[in-house]
Amino acid sequence: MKKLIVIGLSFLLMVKLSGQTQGINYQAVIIDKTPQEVPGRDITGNIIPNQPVMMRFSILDAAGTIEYQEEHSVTTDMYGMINLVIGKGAQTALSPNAFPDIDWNGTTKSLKVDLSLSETDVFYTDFSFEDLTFVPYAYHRNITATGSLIVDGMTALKSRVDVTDGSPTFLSGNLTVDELTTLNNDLTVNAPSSLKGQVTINPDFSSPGNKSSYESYPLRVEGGNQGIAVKVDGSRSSDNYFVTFWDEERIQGRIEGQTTTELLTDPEYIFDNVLFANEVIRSTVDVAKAVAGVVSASSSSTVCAGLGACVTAPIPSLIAGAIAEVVMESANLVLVIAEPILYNVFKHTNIGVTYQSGAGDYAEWLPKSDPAGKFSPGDIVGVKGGYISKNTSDADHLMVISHNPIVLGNMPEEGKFTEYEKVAFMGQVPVLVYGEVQPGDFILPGGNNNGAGIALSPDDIQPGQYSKIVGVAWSGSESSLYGYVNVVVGMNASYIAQLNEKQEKKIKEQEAEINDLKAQLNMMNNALAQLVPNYSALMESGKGESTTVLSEASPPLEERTVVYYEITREQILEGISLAEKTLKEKGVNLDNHPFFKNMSEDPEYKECFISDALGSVKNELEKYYQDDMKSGAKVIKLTQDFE
Amino acid sequence: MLMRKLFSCLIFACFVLTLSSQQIYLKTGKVFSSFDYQNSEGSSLSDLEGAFLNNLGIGARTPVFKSPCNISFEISNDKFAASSSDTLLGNYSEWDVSFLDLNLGVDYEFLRPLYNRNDPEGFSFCLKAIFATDFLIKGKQRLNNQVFDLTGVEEFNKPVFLVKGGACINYYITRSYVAFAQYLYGRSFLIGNYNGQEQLRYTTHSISIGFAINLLIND
Repeated sequence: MKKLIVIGLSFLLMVKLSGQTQGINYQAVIIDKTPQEVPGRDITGNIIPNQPVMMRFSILDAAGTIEYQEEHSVTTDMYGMINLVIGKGAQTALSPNAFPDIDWNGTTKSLKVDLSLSETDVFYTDFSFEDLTFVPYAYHRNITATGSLIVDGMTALKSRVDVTDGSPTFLSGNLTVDELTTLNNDLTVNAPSSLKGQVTINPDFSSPGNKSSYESYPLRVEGGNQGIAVKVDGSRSSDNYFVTFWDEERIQGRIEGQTTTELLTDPEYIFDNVLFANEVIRSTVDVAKAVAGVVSASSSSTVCAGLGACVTAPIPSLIAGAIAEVVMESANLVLVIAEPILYNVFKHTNIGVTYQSGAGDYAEWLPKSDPAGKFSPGDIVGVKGGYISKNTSDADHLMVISHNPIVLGNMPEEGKFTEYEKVAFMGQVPVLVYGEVQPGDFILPGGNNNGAGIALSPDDIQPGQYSKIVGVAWSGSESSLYGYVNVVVGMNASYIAQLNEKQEKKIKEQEAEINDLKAQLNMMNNALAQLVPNYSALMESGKGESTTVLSEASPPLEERTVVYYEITREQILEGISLAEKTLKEKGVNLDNHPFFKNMSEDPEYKECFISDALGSVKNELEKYYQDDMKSGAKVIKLTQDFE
Repeated sequence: MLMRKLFSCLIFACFVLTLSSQQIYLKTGKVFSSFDYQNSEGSSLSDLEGAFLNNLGIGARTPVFKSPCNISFEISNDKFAASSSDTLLGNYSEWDVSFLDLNLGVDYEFLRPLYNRNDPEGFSFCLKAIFATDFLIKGKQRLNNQVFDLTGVEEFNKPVFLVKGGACINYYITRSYVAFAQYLYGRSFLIGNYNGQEQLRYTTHSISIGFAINLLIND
């Protein structure tokens, strides 16, 4: 049997895709091509059972070159069959590659099988030579499909997938990636995207880049008319930090949620409303003063000694001017009242977020009068015509170079930053001050035009220095030389109002003292008139026509005559016209002024104002009338117009 | 060529002998036939077994010049059978063939009862040698589950020449009737593919009985 020559072959190739099998299953029945000789017809197609054989497998490329070759020592079973796995055999010396390195590149591959019926005296004879007409080992890592690869079923790739040669990859379905995803080039997403994890943009910029360059920013939002929308879960509150700003050390600021309650307790909101309230109070006082001025202008008091009462008439131009003053102050009051209303409407309408920052002031870029001028944060500067310098002597406003503003407006054009400086308009800012400072002291320019200031206590400051106030110190300094103190700026009106109130109180006290002195002087004059002949004529010759003196010293009660003229509607209209003329001369645009606009467009509003003005003047006049009546003076109230 | 000449001589001898024969006989019996086979590798078939089959023949016999020697011509129908099985390959072969057997024999008879006796009963013995040629009448070969007709198949499409030898015993019933029994061993010459180194011979063991009638009784 060993000398039989194999003539027939029946083989079966079966590809088995399995993560555990690295090869091609091969099953064959070895048939003796020499028939068994018997008398008569010989027996053909005999199997070779239980025969140890050597099988040699060669995988050849299209040119017939061996790409892989291996040998198997195997014994046929009782049916003459062999079962083995190509790829599990002993690689021969002629094999240039290991089995896993076979390049299944889509070109023709052939399988050549040689058989030796002896394991000891190996002599191979051709067994089969077949083209591999399909990819026999799809699980293999080296498969090159020169055409299209279409897989209708599910495909499991357990190693990396490289799409090379710049070939694009298109997915018409969903892409799910369970592990990390690294993109080494641009990512373009043409549809809305939802990122449910934390997103960190960490560009590998080789240098910080120009902060004014658009290319230097890691996150850029383009397209559409809106920018970035930040939405937090639930209703916003101060627990929601919409945007937080960090540096290497800590949080430096944030934009956080805000509720109505939080707005009402917001120090900035309270501060703003206090400022508005002060303005309203001051404007109301100004209106009251203007009304008192009308009463004064419409009344006349004459002292007639000896010969009975004499009457002098008030000056009409003064009355019209006083009424115009009432109108203008009323118009200003309208503005002052409207401003906090608009502010509160705006704040409550736009309530939502608040800006938190370690920075303490609101600033703007202002141009330097000398572009080469040097300034340091905390320097006091003078503003004249919109330009800043360290010359504070004739400045329109006194301000401070900001150190770290939370809001910075009026950004200069690109390349002109060196010609501008950040100037604090409101808030807390460190200020360079010379000498000792107590909290609450007013900070004024030092006068040396070197940017340093000095501190003055509220008790020491003079009215002439009010216009020089830069701010109020909210921290102190015990240094006798230069030091920085925390100064609140932009609140001067409030403090000056307080000073005005204090000053007004002092003036009233002085007026009272003057009235006492006048009364004493009248008593002395009366006494001298009785003692000295022609004393009254002598004194009268030195006086002219008397004007309104409401608080001057009263003559003897039985000799003082006070005449009050009621203000008429025509006089109010004349005052309004005069006020409009005056304001127009000052360049005020009355077309958009809420007061004058309503006056011109709304007759009811106008009549209401006129009625209120007449009522106010009448009430004020009545008050003075009653006071004079109580003082025993002769009072005359005229209700007709005078020429 | 030699076989053709022998065959021609045999046919001629049979014809002459038949015309001049003094005894005709009819016989029947069993033939045990087997194949003696070697393939081209020189290997014999394993488990090759023969079989007993019937044979039936008629013949003519005549003495040679009144001597104890007789020559005979016989036509018979011999059926051979054999089987072989190969447990290794799982092959099973069976042959069943039927031959027309032409025999030209010579025998030497001794202890023959004298014809001139009144009572010629008695036994005689003889030794017999035959040259025979067989012609396939029909045959079939069974290979596993397939059956093939052996007509025209190499080993069976030519005459088979055999030599036979054996002994017989005759019982003269009367001067005219003789019963006999004989045993013959036969072996053929090589048949089949001589050039292919396959060697096939038949070996036969035949036991038969017969009845002969003496046509001419010489004193």
